[in-house]
Amino acid sequence: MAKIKKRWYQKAGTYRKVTQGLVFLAMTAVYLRHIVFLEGNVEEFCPFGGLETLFSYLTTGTYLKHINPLNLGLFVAIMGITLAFRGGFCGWICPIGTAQDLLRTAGKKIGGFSFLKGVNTRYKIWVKGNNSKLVKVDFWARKFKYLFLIIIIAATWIKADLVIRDFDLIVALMKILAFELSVGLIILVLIVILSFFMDRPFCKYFCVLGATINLVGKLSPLRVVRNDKSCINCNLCNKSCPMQLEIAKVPRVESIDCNHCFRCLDACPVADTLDLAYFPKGIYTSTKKPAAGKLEV
Amino acid sequence: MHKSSGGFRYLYGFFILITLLITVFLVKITEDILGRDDARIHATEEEIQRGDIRGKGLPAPTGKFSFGQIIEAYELDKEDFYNALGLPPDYPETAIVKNTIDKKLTNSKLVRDYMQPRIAEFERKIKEARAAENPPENDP
Repeated sequence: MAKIKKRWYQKAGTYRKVTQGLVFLAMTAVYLRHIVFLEGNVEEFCPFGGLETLFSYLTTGTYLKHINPLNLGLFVAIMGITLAFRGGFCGWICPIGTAQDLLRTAGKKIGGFSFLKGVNTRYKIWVKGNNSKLVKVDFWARKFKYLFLIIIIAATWIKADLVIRDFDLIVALMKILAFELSVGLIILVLIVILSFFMDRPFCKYFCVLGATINLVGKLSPLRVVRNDKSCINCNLCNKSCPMQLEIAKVPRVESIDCNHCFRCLDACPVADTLDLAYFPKGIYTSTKKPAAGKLEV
Repeated sequence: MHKSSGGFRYLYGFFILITLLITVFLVKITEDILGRDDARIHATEEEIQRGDIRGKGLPAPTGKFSFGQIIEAYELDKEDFYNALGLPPDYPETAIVKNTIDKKLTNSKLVRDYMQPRIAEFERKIKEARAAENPPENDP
């Protein structure tokens, strides 16, 4: 098989980074306008608010406090997007995801500094030595966000109040100038620290919108598919995946954690081996699931 | 093997972004047309016109209102309000909250801490008053 060297414009990552950058800058502007000039409302761009107010809206026609029509509109739109494009919102749009990507890139750069090389090497050795334990912890920790989703939605719908605000990163960011200590602020600091060491910790363990998207995305007919005949088993796709999914051994990526960032497509050195496909063969009939991969550092 | 997706992977994010931008545009346009900027607010048109900010909770735009407007709209005690915010008693009621915060005369946390329970109480009163005006009809 002929290996290909992709130019920048042939990589989906280029277009993803541009999209992420535009959304991130726009949302940063909305956020700064909110906290500095007390104008606009950053919370109205939170799609999860739409799910939180859904019960209240359907039963009484009213929105919960702090929620307005844009939250609901964005939630409905993102569910539609998820059905059509699977987890693309997380991979390409979400500003919290972008912030984690930026922190991870910074973490890699900092880890490369000569005075930190010793620490970095010891950290990598420690991760490799404890890989099986870490994979287990990672596997169960990823379930947490689904439990959190159920609790938050049940509590919100029963109490008709935004109970998530105490744990919300965005609310913590909004109140950052007031220096209020809150659970949300602690989670925010934890996520910032973790993001230097691993890919997308918030998406993996905490994000309730991500959990909703993952569950709805299961219904989407779009998948990353792999051509077994041309695959050279180089495992570059596995190594590039920020969610540590096993791609190199499966005919198509079924994991609900896939956020369609297409890093695997960019990493694949053989033409037409990894690709996107709607309704690939066996999508609704096969029960085989990809196994969890190794934690890469 | 399936047919190659071609350039779809490059336009993928564009489709998502455009869908979201259209959604934001449509919701905002609809809000403007229907006048539902305050759709989350449980205040009537009359209540909103009377105080302009009544029932709006305490979102950021509250900072654009003057102390006088806030005191009148939420039926607050001026002396209590000024004390809580640490403002001198002769401070003009026409001053805008945001400007006062910018000038470090008070801070947004003080404003929020003072206003939130009072707004909640105010909303509770409105709900009760409305419930008293429109008692639920008994089923025959």
